[in-house]
Amino acid sequence: MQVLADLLRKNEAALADRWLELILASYNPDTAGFFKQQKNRFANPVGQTFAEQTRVVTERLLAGEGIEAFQDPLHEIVRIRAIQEFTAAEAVGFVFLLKDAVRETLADSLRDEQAARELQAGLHELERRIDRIALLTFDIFVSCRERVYSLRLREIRAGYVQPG
Amino acid sequence: MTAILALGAILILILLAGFGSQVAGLQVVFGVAVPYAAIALFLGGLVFKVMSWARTPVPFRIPTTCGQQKTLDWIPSARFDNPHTTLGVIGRMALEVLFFRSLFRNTKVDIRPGGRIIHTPAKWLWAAALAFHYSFLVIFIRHLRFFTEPVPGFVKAIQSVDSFFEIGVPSIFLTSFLLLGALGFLLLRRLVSPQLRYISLANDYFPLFLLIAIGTTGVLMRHFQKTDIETIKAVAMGILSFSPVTAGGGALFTIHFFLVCVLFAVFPYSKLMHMAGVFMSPTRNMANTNRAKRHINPWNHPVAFRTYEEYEDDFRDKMKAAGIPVEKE
Amino acid sequence: MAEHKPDQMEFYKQEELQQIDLNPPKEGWQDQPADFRPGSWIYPTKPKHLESLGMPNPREWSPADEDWQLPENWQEIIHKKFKELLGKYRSFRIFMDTCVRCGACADKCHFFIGGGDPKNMPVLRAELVRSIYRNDFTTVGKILGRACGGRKLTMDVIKEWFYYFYQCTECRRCSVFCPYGIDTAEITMMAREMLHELGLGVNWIMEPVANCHRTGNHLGIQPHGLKDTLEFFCEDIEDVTGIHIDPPINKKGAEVLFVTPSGDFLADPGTFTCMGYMMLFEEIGLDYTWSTYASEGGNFGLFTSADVMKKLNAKIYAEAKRLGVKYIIGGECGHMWRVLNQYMDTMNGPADFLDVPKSPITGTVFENSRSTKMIHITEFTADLIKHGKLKLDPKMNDHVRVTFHDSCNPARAMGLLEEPRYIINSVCNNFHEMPENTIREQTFCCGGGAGLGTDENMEMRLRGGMPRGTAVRHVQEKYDVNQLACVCAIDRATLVTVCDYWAPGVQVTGVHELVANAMVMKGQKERTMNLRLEPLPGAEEKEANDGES
Ligand code: HEM
Ligand code: SF4
Ligand code: SF4
Repeated sequence: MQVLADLLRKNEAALADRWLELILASYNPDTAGFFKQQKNRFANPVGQTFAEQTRVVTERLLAGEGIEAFQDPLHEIVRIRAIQEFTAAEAVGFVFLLKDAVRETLADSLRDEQAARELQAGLHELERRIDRIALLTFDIFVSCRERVYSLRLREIRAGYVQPG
Repeated sequence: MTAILALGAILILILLAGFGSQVAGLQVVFGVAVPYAAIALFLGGLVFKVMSWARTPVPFRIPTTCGQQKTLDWIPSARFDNPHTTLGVIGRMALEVLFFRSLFRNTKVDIRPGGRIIHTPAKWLWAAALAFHYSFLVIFIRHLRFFTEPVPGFVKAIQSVDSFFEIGVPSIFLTSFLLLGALGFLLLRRLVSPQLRYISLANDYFPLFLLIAIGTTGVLMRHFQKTDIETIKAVAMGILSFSPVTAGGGALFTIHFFLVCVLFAVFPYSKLMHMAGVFMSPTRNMANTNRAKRHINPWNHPVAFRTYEEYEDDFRDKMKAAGIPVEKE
Repeated sequence: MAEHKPDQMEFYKQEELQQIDLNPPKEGWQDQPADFRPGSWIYPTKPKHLESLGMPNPREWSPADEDWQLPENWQEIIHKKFKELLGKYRSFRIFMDTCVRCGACADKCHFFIGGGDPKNMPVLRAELVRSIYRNDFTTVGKILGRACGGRKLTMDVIKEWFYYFYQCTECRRCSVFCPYGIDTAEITMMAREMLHELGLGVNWIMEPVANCHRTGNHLGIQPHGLKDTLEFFCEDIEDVTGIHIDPPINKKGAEVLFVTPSGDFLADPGTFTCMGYMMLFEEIGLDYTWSTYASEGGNFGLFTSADVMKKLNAKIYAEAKRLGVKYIIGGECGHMWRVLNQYMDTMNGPADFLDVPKSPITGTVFENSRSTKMIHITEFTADLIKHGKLKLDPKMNDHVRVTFHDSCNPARAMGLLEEPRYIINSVCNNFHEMPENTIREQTFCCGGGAGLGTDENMEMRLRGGMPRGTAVRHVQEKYDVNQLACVCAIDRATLVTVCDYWAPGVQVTGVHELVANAMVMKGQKERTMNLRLEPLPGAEEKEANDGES
């Protein structure tokens, strides 16, 4: 357990970067390039929000923080993906990419049979936590969608949108 | 794919010229027919295109305003970014043409957490574009030495500034390398950035490859496979005086010369026409005097609208009931 | 990979996982048809509106349909219109010919920034039309076709146009950064005009157009309804200030005709701004009138075609002439001022029956409007304040921490930047600017301009509103900003939604709402509420204290 935590914390930055990269791959490649390269937060709010918040999530995951700690950073990300052209599964599925990123970061260590066995239990535990985070993400996604619908409804009521 | 298409086209052109220089009979074609055809295509196309733009009306005054308008006396207005006088417009255009002002806007210097300063690649675009265009201009002027006798003073002056460092014999012209460097960057940028690759067409790669080929053959002639200047000057003067000489200057020269002809020939039919477009763009070359001076639209045809009378006929009863004054009781 | 399950180590082979394809799709953008996702397109025009305006091909249809029920010869129709527009607009011609695809504009569009769809890069949006131009109207294109960026005009192209030209708010931000000033808004206008020839338009634009044609305003408010609305506002004003106002309507011989977007009559917070105008005019004793016939400053014709724009706009001068006013003042609105500033005089002028606007209070002559005879209300008010003609108590707005959103059109088609700022600074003590690359000429659109402000495309609007929302959120976090001021009726509708999603807690206000709340009117009672009828902080305690002493 401890071994795994240490190993990952040593590679925290790489892990977060990899996760971000996997997330950005869900966009058109030329867009992903822009999201990644433009560092100004106001010229590129999507890319910068993803970059900042994936770092926060990764950090809190490795620090073993409770589920509440993930609400805010995930909300920042999901709020964006909830109104982009994704299906629900696509919008939320980015959390599972974190598992891929973890496995990849550990790939070298996992190649060794002995080490792999040692890490197995910890890995299993970590992945369960990621699953838990995924469920939270789903809740957040639904709340964002509800928000969108309530905004639509309010505009209709206000009369900006006219029937007939 | 599009890049390969453009590259292929350039290679074919190079082979064509290389072959032509070796076959005696074709020298007339490459030395006489091609340059005159190119000049005709260039002048004809340029005049036609510019005329077709100029003939098309500018129905509305639509400057893109990039600064404070001229209103109340005590509010300073942006003289160039939102010009309200002809002088202001000239200033704005000069900034655009000489310094690529709008492209410069793109530049963003960011201070990242921890005080690190980042120049986004946009600045490089501006710098490379400026470097390329000025080098091209200088090189163009330098070439006048082949077409003039005696060579005018300013050409000599530019030439001596350009070879200021006197490295090598004959000494290196800085702009030649600046040009190739800048073009290399502009090409690389298109190939490397996925975003740019996505928007680039074969017509975007073609001029870049063409200019790189021209620049490279030029440098090769000056520094590696010396070409006899006197022969070339004879060719150039021959063309200008309508008594062309066919004595070629070797394969390299034929290729260089042929590609330049291609550049001239395609100029008016390609995006290179931005040279003229920049001067005629209505969002940049008009003063924001919109409310002060009436702009006339030559095709301003009448459009029927609902008149007050029709409106009142429709609503008269309701208006009267509400106590709103009406024209007809 | 298939033979391994996710719980097996082999499933996660590093080499394979890292093979993320960062290369653009093999086929270029030219061959990827638009994917009509709900939330990204707007309902088409109802046939009755097209009929009432006499526009082509009225029918029931949906963009989600396979068959759009176009006339047999649709290609010919587009070709003909394309040619006509190329002959009418130098801008169109030059913008078709000069783009070098440098990419400077690519990441400047709020829809691309917030959503990431590459065809929302202004350069590609323009290429959607430019590719057809090359193929059909240039010699080289006719010969080389696809090899030089040409493209055949197919049904997929038309669908793509409909999809992407109704994802452009004609905000002109891209034009600011283009070395040749190529204005994608202009290209969008041309494309929409072509689409209208086939009966392809959206209801949220065409219904207001039809309304405006008949009733004089987008909302279809009839004369008596407008009177009721204004009187209703006056009741609220009386509640707040104790001052009674009788709104002048269709009054002949008034000095000034006042025209504002009808959005100001409809819903909060626009209504508060409207009250603000009335209080200001009352306080300075301006001899003005509303008009029920020209009761719309905005002009959805701008989002339709030049002729429709002209048709709707014509009423303003016609009414000014009928009423015999001296000049016109226009309220706070964005696209309305694009029309008034850049089109009205050319289309429907000369307004030689009017006088050059001169403030009756300060004597200032508005030379900048010498020909149009129409001034912006913030120009008028800024002049009043500068001359000290208004008694202002900015402390009344002390609970407001405000930032200012430059609306696209006043910023980039006019340059109205300092007037509203001067006013805000005179009536508020807490003003904070958003980051430099999101204001003034670089301002970000609300995401709902140019007729996109409806609800069925809410996701698209929220994507487009994200850059603005992020900047608002920034000043909210940094300076505790709680209100966003703007000079646009569309903003007052759409930014409420944008803020609720991206920066919840920030309210939207018009500049003249702030003015009215800080204005000390002659003979007013002590203010305990603002125009929203919310108690002023401290007012309750103060009342209690007053009672004791
Ligand atoms: C008044 C004259 C001109 C002005 C103001 C001007 C301006 C510009 C600007 C602002 C760009 C965009 C930056 C870039 O993409 O690099 C550009 C690109 C370009 N210009 Fe010019 N230009 C002028 C004349 C010319 C001429 C005479 C040539 C031809 C030899 C030329 C060739 C090019 C090429 C090839 C590009 C594209 C570079 C690329 O693909 O990245 N320009 N020009
Ligand atoms: S900035 Fe202008 S020239 Fe450059 S790609 Fe955009 S439209 Fe074309
Ligand atoms: S005008 Fe505005 S919305 Fe349209 S392409 Fe340009 S930046 Fe985007």
